[in-house]
Amino acid sequence: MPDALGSFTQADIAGLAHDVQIPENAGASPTQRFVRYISDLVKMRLEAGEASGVSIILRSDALESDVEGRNCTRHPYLRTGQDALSQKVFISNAVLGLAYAIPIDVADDEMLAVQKAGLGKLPALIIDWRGDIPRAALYGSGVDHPDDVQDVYLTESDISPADLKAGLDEFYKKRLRTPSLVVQGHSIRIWGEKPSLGWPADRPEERIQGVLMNHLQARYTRFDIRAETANDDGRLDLKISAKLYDGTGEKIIKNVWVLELKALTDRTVNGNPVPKATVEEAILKGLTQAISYKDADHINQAALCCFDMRATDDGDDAAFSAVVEEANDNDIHLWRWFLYRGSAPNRDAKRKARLAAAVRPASK
Amino acid sequence: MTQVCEPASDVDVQSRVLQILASLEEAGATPIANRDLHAIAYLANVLSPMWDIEPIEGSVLKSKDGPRSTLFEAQLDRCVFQGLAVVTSLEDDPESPARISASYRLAAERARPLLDVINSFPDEQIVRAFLNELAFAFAQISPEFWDDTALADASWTDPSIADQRVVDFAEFVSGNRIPSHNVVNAFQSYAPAGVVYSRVEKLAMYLRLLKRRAHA
Repeated sequence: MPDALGSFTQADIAGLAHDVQIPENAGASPTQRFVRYISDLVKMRLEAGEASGVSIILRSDALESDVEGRNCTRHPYLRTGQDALSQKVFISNAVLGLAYAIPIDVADDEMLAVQKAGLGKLPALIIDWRGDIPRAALYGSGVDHPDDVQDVYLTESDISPADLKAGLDEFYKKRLRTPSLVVQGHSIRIWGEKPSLGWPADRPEERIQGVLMNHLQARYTRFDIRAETANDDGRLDLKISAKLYDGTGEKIIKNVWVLELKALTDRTVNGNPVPKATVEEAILKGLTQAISYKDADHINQAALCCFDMRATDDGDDAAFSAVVEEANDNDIHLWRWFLYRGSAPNRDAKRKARLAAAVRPASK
Repeated sequence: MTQVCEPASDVDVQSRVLQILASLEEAGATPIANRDLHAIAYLANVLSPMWDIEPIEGSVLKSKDGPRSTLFEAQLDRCVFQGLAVVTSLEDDPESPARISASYRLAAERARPLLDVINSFPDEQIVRAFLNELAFAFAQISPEFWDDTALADASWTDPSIADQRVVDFAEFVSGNRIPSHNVVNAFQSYAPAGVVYSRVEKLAMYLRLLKRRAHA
């Protein structure tokens, strides 16, 4: 007997799946949704000629409560793109369903106005309209915490290798470099019970993947980022695609990047040693997967991203020596980040880097 | 027959009421009318087992007015009395002249400290993620159809359950005996090549299906 479907039929389900394919924004955090809606808004405002000054839009999780007693002006149609944004501060919800403008004193800049209104802890997107294209920065913990800021790309339709690498470097610096950062980064733990001894948590790639996906979704608002999409060759880790429109207005999906993620460990979760050959095998397997995914899904660019959790940082050349030629032949980027097991080795490494930088000019 | 799910305690229900209101606030779906609030609470109950979350109730009486939970209503009232939720309007219920319909929003200043505590528990973080997905998908439906969304649910519309009988989705039944879960799981059969739907995507697809039915 087939499973009961209430009053629905298989045809109803098939019809919806055919029309929707993949639901947009499913799984996106409120802030990611907020940034995506603003990205659409910026596109409309650019077409309307908006090109000067700075705007700030705050995301409230309880809008009416946050504007109570703050002398704000109601803007119910911000989302339609008819209201000018320049040199204004708005507070809205994640879907820009309703907005209020916050008053700015003549002598204040937009950021000061937010702080004076006591709203400096709300996630804020700052849009700078000066220049050829608008630049945006997301203050995830509000403008009161300028250390938690991330560049956001609102208008691009492609991602260069240099820019993606910069985004991944930023993710590494903020979320992965030391165990304490990993704990701060959305409580995702990639180290097991004894980070100082190099014991990883179970399946660290998957843990990195989840947080990295959030980071990239916030940075590249015009792109879809999906994890673990199955294809004939197995599974890929992160696929970045752009939605574009062809000459007839039909929607087309352009697969822009595939990122194959590998955590390189020299200990198991129980502290047993991992042979060097196993690590080399993991790198080779990662490269092979990246090549086959790139070809099978017609993806423009691919990178093997290695998160090196081993005891010693022997450098990129040593890590990739066995695969660099094959990677070059197949146009696969090889990127690696070394994860320190504690703050002290991280400080030592930074000191060595500083000393090396100081010595370099003298040796010329 | 073994009972799968027992009714939740008052504190658990009140926590869930606050979490639902907070998710609706995040999604920009407040103020929300009482009838609509019961609709999303029902959907949360029916669908939460798919996320390994205990529903606050495992069954509900099928009536022409749609799903209503006295447990939920009592704790919603308590939230109002404690200043955690605000009644923003009181109007004649257009669909039932004998009743007055209230609309609600979260009183964020008072509720946030409580929500911070609730959401600090690992299990409740999953509840929050689930309710956020549900609320954002629910908010995509035109407000005038919000209550119809629950009336379109597969378990509610199961032709084998007559009016004034109990719709059981987690009390004594589980597995493939729950039509809503069967529909949610059926989407995978029609996924584009190479795509494995995540549970958030399946949830979003199901709400889109309910939207289509409600708007029709």
